[in-house]
Amino acid sequence: MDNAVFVGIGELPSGRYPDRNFMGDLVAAGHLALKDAGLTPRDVDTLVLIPCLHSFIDQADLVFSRVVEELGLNKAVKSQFMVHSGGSTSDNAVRVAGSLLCAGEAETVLILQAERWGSAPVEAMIDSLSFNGIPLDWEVPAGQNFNAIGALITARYMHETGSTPEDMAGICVALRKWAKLNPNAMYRDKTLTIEQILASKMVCEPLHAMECPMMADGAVGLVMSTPELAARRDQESVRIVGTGGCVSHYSLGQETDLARLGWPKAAEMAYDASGWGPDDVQLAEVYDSYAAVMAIAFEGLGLCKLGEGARFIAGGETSPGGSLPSNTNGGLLSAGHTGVGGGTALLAEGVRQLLGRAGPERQLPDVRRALIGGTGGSYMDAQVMMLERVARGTGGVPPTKAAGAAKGAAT
Amino acid sequence: MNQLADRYDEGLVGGKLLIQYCDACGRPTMYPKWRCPSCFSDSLSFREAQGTGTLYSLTVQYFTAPTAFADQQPYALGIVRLTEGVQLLARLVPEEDGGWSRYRMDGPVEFCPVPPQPATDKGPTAGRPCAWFWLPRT
Repeated sequence: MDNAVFVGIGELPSGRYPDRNFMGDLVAAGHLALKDAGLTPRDVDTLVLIPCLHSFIDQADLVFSRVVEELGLNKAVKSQFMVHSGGSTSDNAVRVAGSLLCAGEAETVLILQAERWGSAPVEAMIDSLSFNGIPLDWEVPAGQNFNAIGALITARYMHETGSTPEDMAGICVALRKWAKLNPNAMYRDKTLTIEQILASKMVCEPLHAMECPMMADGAVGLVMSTPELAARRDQESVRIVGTGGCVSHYSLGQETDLARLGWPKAAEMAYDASGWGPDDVQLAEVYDSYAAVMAIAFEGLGLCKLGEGARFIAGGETSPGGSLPSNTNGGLLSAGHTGVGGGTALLAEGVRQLLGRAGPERQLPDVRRALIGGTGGSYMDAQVMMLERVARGTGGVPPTKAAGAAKGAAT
Repeated sequence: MNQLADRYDEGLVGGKLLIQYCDACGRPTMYPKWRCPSCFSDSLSFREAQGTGTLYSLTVQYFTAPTAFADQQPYALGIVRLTEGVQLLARLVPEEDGGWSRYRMDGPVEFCPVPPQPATDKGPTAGRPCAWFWLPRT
């Protein structure tokens, strides 16, 4: 994706905000992202919308252009549409937006996401989720649901790797350390210990209550553009070096490798596409709605030894000061699970770190290369994106190509 | 009309676990599909499974079940790998003490033709059966 770069991000705090409003949050996140890029809505030609799960009616508003009106873009944008693959939507939205930019179909794209899970009735959300991404014909009649899906994966992962309940709880604790440095995180003010987690009630064995993600409100905006425009606008930018993906199943009951999922295949594709190896990754932002999901991804991505994912993360390697800072916003487990937006928040955090805008408490020094990992539904897919910071003015053109272009211009 | 689910459910109600086989290439497929995922033939037939397999993963649900299943908690879900080489999500029959402590991952399980509990009468799949498995009878 040589002709697509990120130039701005915006985010509202995640958590329970009953006084906020869905459309209000979307518009606010959009304006924040555009301001971050030094732009206004008038600069946008394409809107890519990430769905919400709390309300079918609000989602219909997304599909049918309400955001265009709210941003004052009637007859000003070329196209607006929704991309949806559950938790991996942001990865696929970037894949789509980036492809449009590379094809010359778009020049400035605004990607928007908002969710009201934290303020919606919990039981209604659990019920709607129990047949949203779970096969109605084959698994709903047995009582399948998302905590059970997380538990079935966790149980098998622990069985195959010998990871202990303490190891799994340790991942949640590691994530909380980052959340405490993130003013947008749901649990920025609450400490968490392994003892607390293991003493919390058993919800879905082996998952304790404090190992289940907490549903949250949240909103994120991302602005993408072309390297040429970014250079002309004198913007800092982040380029997409390569991507990989693997859709492994629909029904969790049909996944034949619960402790690996689609990660090894997606990782190989992304490393091939980028020319990177695991050692090139300086920062990882990987979907973590349950601890095992993150550990499995780390192993498949080759970021730690096979079977050691939980111990690697729980041991502090990804925590502040660790060898591979990861999920630096606190992840879904500590920043809040904003539905489809959990992955969007991780992506935004990766871009934010590469742009050097993560604030004094958690900004990583000299971070240039990040890996973004996402997954949706019953962990039906693994999506990998390699991102790299671009020096202002070079506009996202890789150094070798920039040199070539300059030479061409001179002759 | 949902020919696949209706036929599969009929089997369960009659105490049989059905596996779909492709009439062209002979391969089994689970869950039932409209075309063979291997050779793409649209000619498939249901046959009764042997009912034996191993438990691939399991969980016991104590809280946060969908409301239609809330009054069945605690209940256990497992992914079962059948001897025929296909797998499915199933409910696990509780042991005599009401728990599931003797179930083991990679351990043997068998199809239970008579569910110990009726299907939930609530929610989007009210009245629809599911497969149940238990530990091998000695």
